[in-house]
Amino acid sequence: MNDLPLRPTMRAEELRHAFDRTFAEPPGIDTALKENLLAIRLGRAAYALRLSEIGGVYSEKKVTRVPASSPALLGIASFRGTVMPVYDLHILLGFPTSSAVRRLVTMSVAPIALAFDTFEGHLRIPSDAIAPQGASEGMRHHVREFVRTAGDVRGIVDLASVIATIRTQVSQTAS
Amino acid sequence: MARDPHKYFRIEARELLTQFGAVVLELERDGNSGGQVQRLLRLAHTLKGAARVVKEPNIADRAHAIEDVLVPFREMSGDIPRECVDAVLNSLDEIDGRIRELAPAPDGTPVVQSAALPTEDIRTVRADIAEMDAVLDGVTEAHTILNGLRLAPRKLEQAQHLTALLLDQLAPRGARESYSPAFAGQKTAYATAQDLRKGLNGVRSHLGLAIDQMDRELNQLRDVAEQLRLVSADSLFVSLERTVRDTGRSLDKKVAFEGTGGDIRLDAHVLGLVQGALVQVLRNAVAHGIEPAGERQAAGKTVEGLVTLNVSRRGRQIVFTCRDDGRGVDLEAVQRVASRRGILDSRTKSYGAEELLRVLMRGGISTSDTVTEVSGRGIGLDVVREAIEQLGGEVVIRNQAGKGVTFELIVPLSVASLEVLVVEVSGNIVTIPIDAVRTAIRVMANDISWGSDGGSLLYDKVAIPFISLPRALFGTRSPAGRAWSALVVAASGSLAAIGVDRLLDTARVVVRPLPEFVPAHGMIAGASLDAEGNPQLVLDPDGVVAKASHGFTADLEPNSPARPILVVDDSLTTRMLEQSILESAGYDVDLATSGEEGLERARHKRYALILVDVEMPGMDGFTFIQQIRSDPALHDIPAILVTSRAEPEDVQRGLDVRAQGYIVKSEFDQAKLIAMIRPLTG
Repeated sequence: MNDLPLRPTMRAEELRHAFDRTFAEPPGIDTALKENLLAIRLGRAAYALRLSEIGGVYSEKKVTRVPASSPALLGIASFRGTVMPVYDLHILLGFPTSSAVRRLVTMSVAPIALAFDTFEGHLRIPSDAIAPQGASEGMRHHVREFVRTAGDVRGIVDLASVIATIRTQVSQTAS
Repeated sequence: MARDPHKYFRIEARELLTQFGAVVLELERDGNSGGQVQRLLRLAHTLKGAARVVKEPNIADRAHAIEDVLVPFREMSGDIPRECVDAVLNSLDEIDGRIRELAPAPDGTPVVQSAALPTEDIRTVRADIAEMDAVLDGVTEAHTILNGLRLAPRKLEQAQHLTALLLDQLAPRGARESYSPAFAGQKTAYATAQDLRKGLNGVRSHLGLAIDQMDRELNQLRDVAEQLRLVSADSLFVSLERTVRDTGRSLDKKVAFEGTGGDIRLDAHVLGLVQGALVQVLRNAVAHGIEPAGERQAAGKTVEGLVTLNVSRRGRQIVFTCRDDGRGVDLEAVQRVASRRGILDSRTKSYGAEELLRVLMRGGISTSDTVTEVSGRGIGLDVVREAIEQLGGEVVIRNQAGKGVTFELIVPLSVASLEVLVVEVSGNIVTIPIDAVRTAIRVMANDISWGSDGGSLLYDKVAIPFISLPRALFGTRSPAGRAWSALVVAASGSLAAIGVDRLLDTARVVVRPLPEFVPAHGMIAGASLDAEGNPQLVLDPDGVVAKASHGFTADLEPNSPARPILVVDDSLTTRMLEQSILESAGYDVDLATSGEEGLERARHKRYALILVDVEMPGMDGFTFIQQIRSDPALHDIPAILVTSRAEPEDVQRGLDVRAQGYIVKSEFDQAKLIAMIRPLTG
């Protein structure tokens, strides 16, 4: 066994080889697919939104009332100069309305903003942590999947279903 | 003669060539799969007409040659022979070369072919609408950030106050203290604090001024950017007048053009698409409508024909009305040609005027005996229809045999700049186009006569309908006996008075339609953005007058049968506050001081809604709502909890007993309370 320290030239050579090797090896790939979610809360109920379906999160945005027959339509607001309707997520998800609505998210999948109480943070979880709704589970408002996070099971809001409901409401009002 | 007679032709021709190039390449790649040949025919037709007008027969002939090559393939789908595509491209190259020759040399004479590429004075630029929108977005965002900065002077003021306290503590108490050696360190601190005060004073004053200045600059920038995005309609008139005059000259007809309503400003994109359609309509009017001088004289008309264009706003639409005083459409000829081409059933003896005019708009019909320089191939009116339909609009034709044709090109108001009157309605800022407002009047309660079908008041010795805007827009009832600020609005030939809470200001705003996913509302024309970038509603005078004219059966009757609201709270302050807010919003209010009293009242009188405190001695708010929900006679009355506790458990308990909402007392807000109650009380 040789305990002598390497000579500087040998040490440099070893470092050079190690450096070159890193280019020959494939980059490390995290094979587990991840889902990015936004954790939100409506009263005590915990929900999540898919980050890919969200355009932005806003707070204390002024919402202008519009005459509307739908109680879920809170009004319109401007997001970077684009005017969008603001719908109350409480009512869309079957809860009573709340005076505590402070946050807005804009959807990336449709020009609609949703209002809710509390933004809890960003979740990055493995895809297989998302469970579909069981056949025996009663139909929940706009929720088809669930995810377990620290201490909570959250319904993931199905924005496509929310949009379809809004579209129907708008067309019924128009007709 | 103009110094550069081809200036506008070159611009138009270059734009047409660019479109030509794109469509020919598409044709070569995909064959005639999506109307490419039809599009090319229209482009050639437009270019040919324009070239004839500026007396450029070479270009017109080449465009005509393109039409000859492509006409056989108009109805066919699939690949076009290579040699045909080559022929079109060759013609385009020739046209391109000729257009280059038309560019004036610096001394004003057209350049010869070998000359360098044309150089034009660049005095105006065409900005992409998306780029203009990006500028507007940037200004709006900058304004939002600036508004956030407005808190800074207030914080600096607090720092100034603290500095004053510090100076007070560090100040020497007399000459003896100021000269003592023990005060040396404190003296330095005192001097530093004085510097700090000076610095803070300077920063605060500078910051305040800078914020105000930036605010003014950004407002100006926003106004300019918004105006840049819009173009006044009269910018069309010069080129359209030229079109009419030159078309008339090429057909040996004397025709005058009159344009009115040119001060209306419109989205440049809309105007661009409408311009093409208008050119076509005007050329048609001159070529087919206006008769030769002899024929006009024989018909008792002036020798000079007249083509007019009026631009007007009709509610949420802009209407371009083109009228000529010519012979009108020869409907028999339309039927004859359409039957011959199989568009109409030749066995039917006679079609109605409406049906025939609709067929005419579909294209492919030309009643001209000969293919003239500017019309006659039946390509034209379908261009008009398609351009307008592309904007979501429609074309209406009215034909008066022997007297002329009126074309109405009606396009939705996508973006327009309007002068508006700013008013307050139920705590909201709303605007109405000022050109529809005749006057503003003060209306006392006894000036309004209420009937079963709405209110009326006397204006200029005539009864006109009255409508309460708070009620019509937001369902807010007004207390009996209130006085109003009312606007007398004129639209669609009728007058109506609309009651608002306050008149605030006038402003120039840029109106956009309400966004998708907001139900259309007859009284709303769209929304504009205020200085802080927040939307404001813009009323549609036509919709408002129509609503007032149709009346409101339950508008503002003093003895309104609306159900009252019950407030249950043991706190006198809360009861009085809620009662005052609700009564100001037009609701009748009953009060109860406990859950038990509230239940008793609810069992004897039907309420529209109950506002109930959570923490009360005896029966609490949760139990109260539980009792209501379990009573078959009361279970459907909406109830809102008012609580000083915002713990999630409390909120959840509220949800569990099926309260329709909860309001946290520390966040109590008049507007939110009314906004929450409004949809629940219907």
